[in-house]
Amino acid sequence: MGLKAVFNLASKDIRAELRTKHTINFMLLFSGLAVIFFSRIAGNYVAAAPEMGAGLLWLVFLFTGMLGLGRAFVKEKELGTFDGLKLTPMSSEEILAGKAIYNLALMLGIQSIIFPLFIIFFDFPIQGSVALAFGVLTLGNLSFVIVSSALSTLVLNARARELLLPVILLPVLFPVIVTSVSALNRVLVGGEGFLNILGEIKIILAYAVVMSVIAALTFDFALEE
Amino acid sequence: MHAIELRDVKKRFGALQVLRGVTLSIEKGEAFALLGPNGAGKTTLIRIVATLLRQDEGEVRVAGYDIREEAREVRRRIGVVSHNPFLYEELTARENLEFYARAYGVAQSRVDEMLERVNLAEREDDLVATFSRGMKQRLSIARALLHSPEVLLLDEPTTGLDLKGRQDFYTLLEELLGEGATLLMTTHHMDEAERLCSRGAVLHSGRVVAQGALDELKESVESLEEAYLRITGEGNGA
Amino acid sequence: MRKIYFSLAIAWVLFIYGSYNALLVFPPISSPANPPMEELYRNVFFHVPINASAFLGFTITLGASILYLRTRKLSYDLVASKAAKIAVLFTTFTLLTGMVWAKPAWGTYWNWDPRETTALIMWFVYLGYFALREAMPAGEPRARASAVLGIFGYASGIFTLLSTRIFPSLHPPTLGLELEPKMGMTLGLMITAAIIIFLNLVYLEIRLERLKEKVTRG
Repeated sequence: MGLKAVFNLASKDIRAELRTKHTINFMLLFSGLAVIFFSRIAGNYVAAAPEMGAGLLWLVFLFTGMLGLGRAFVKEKELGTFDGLKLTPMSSEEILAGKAIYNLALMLGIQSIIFPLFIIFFDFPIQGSVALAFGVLTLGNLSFVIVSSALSTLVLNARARELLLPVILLPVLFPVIVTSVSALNRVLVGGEGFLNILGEIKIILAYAVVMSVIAALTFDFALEE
Repeated sequence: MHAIELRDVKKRFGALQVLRGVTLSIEKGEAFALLGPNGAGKTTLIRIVATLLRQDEGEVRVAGYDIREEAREVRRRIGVVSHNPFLYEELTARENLEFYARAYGVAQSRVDEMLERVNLAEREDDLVATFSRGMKQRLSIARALLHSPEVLLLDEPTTGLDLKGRQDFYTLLEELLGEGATLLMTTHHMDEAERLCSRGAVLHSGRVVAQGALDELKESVESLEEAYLRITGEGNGA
Repeated sequence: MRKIYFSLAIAWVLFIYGSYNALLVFPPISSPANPPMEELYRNVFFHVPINASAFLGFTITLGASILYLRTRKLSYDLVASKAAKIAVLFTTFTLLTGMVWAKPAWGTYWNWDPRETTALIMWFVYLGYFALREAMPAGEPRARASAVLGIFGYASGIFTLLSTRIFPSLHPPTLGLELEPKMGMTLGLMITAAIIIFLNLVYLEIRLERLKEKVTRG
């Protein structure tokens, strides 16, 4: 797999997105609203039981990602540029990796704004290392974007694809989201260090690797029309 | 070796059999026209040769490479222009070409060269969204030619071009033909086919009903169109 | 077709004989700490075989999905989708029999136990699989998309089981379950019967679909 080709695609998408900011603005607005709603509805309960916090935070990412990540391919399809992309000698793995990096950039953008916002609005008492918490979130989002980028192409030719995508994505994402929430909780609330959450990190990493391999093996088929 | 070779190619979409066994061979350096009414399967055929669609049955070779087994080799050697320009509206003309140049692994100097060649050097830093239909089509031609493809696949390439754009496009294609490129094009305009192509085939309901030199085909196309109009009743009022 | 009826008849004989043993012949086990379990343990003779065949079904879907992508023969797609359909049905029964057991055994119907969780997630994965199929017209693209999802979904099931393993499990271990020889034999019979019934149902579904195609084509 050629890294040059991968970054060429990712930087093309990031550049186009930064110019219009259609997707990122929409995702930020949505995730901000979700934090405000959760804070107003569940803020007091989270103060009493901070273990709820990590789960709520992940729900925000999950719903925001559901709405925004599919755009990476849907946009190409709607603009008719998807064929142009498939006509290039880029391999399907390179296309998937480029799109996944673009999606990861989106999620990291959301994460770096929503995570602090979340801490502020919930007045969240952080016991462990903020850097480690951020790292665990990033790792979770990495798995998230790999699977959502790969599966979002499956619904391109389906009816009601916006409704369909969450329904097929959520069950596949379930194990990695649950593990990420557990790891985040142990850092934020339990104040535990890297070595204590190694079990969770291994599972998230293994998930990312296995899903990447499946994605690489099947993406040729997913790209076909 | 033929530039493009199709053997008994079949394709169906659900219950609809779009191609019912098409066999064609196009020589290297030849310009070949695909003619026929709408729905005959011309676009499907071009998309299959372009590796964008997978045929159900039959074999297709481009420049000697099998389009299924060696799709990447085929993609390196083909340039595709269709009515859809495959351009990113939020990027400038130059950024579009630079993206494609990197995707094809082509030197960035080709970008300047192609922008000059399609007369868009002055507008290179404008967003494609601000371009007219004709300018987009010209940029799309530059995109398709970036990697100096041996085989050009053109699906109604002059849709949306004005007379001047059309003439420029023909001149460009004639230059490329002179350089030894092979051309496979679909078109509705007989004059367009006549100007560029020496041979052609008429497709009807997914079958090749006639093929050969264009002047011979001309009659069969006209009679075919008449027949088609009669069958569908579209010609009644006209 | 006659062979199918024959194997189905054998399976039902095994099933009825097994059920008779499980429900009427075997004595209650001793469970002073939890009296309802004295009778409820019989549930295991139904829960385990149904679950085993559902799992087999999802594995058949995985295998047929991979074979479809390699050969593009629509018959593999038919096998994959029908195996998934019956496996989802069986998983529904797995979940229900599991809940009936869980309430007296562990106090609540639902406990997020690793096995429960895995069965539930597989159930949702394959409902999503059918949602995808519903949203596309029959044909090659649908077969391709659902085959890819079938592979991702199976992997997700394995990870669900793995990831919940870091929490302690309430569920009795599947292997090393200590049963009297006669009970073990009955469980074996029931598993065999359930698998035969499962495979027969899948086969009948496939035949039905083929006949439907024949009729619509005329």
